[in-house]
Amino acid sequence: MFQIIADGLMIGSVISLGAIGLSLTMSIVRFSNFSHGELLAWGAYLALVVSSGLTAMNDVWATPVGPFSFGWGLVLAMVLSAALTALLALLLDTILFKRLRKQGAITLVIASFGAALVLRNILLFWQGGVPQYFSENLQIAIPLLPRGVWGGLRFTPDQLLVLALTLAAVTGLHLFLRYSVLGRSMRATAINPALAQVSGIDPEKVLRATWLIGGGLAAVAGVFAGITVQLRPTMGEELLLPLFAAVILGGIGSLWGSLLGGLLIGLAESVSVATLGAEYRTAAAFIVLISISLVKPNGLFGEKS
Amino acid sequence: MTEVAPALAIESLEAGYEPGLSIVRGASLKLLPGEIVAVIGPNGAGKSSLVRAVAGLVPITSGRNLLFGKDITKTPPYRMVFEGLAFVPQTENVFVNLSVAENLELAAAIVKGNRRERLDPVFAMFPDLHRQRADVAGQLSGGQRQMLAVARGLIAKPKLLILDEPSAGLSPKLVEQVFSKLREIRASGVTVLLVEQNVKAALALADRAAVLVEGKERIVAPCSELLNNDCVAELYLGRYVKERI
Repeated sequence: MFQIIADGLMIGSVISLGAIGLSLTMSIVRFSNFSHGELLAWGAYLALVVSSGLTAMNDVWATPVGPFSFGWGLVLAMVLSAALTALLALLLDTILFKRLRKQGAITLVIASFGAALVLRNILLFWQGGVPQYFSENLQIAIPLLPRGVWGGLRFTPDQLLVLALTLAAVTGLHLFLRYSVLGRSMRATAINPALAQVSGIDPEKVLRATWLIGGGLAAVAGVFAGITVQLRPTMGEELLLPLFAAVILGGIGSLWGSLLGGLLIGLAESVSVATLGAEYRTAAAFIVLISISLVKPNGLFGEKS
Repeated sequence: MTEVAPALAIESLEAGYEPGLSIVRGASLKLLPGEIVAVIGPNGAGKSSLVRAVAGLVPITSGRNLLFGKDITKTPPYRMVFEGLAFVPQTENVFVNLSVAENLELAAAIVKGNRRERLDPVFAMFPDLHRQRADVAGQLSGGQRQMLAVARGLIAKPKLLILDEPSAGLSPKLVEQVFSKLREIRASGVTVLLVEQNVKAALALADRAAVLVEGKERIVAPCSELLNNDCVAELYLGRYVKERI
């Protein structure tokens, strides 16, 4: 029982981080970006390329850090990948979305479908379809609860780190949105773009910040997915629906909503894997989404429109 | 006598949302520093579009706007506060899910400078807002909300304050409160341009008024003259007031 919850939190962390970026673009750029999942996949693969490159130069980079399965190489690779993926998101906006912004949200949504296809297939062409791993090292799960208590609870050190870093990232973003001028400008633009503009907020600057943050978080989520599961070129596509489910469940534009939404979707998936079988896990996520939407149509933390 | 540079000079302005479909059609208007000028006229005359065009929110096709002699025709809307022009929209003019204090602090943070130096004078001018500073803006009464919208505009210490129908949806008593605040604001040296449906109140407040018809000013005159102008009295005051009552 506890193990199911723990597994759900792991999937949930990845979904949460991805959903936060998606939620930011939905509330500030004002369209549903179907290429957001691909940013997760690109983030994961860019980190893989960087960390493999570092390891090829010197084995020291791959020496496991403390109890974890990976070395400092992956840590550095994740930071670089977050920066590169942030730039990729900004590039997508500059060459594609920015030009179409005046055409309305539907055009942007369709364009993002196209962008997703292009990004996914470039990745498939470049990296091949075979699943890959950041590390071949096996990890021994640490038992936190003995088997006798509700089936026991085991975590690998990697998983605990992923959970901790997810919470740290969300807290950091919360502080940024709450206290920095740019963060507050982003919130103001999400609430009332016209008033934000006459108050002196440059809308393009806010949009750039949104893409950079969304892209960076997507890369981190992608790396976490790679650490806890594996890397596949189709991972973005597979994560996309859960991401949207998490955003809608939490309420569009709500940071903590996306976090909670992601964790709930993750839990729903892991419960269904354990009880109904893995093939029903997306269905389970959507049953949770539909049930909560019936009671709270704007999501758990959504503003009434 | 040397000529004073106008606070705002609108010169033969053409503006509209759709290309080829001008709403503002060659309008011109000059505001002297320290003046309150009201733009009145029938519904659909383009009053709001005129001031929104000055604020950069409606595309301008020809003509130009000068703010204290500086051309602001092509200035993007978000740069206007830095040029000394504050605009208070008619609707959705406060961040409804932020508190009163957060609304004002956000405005202060964007224009930078000393936070207290910006907030204190505004709170001194609006003591009610200071009392309600922790309240969520969306829960304020109509009058207080309008006061907050005006206060937000003042945070940037503008030289020119433009208001789009500040009396909309307010009771006569509240209109008088908001308008007496505008008098105070003018007394502090700010030039005020406002669009008004409430012609009677507007003519009582403003120094001069422009009657806008089909996107162009028909008459620009001191309010005392307009009140005695038979044509205006009949067209825009007499019938209008009677209809309202």
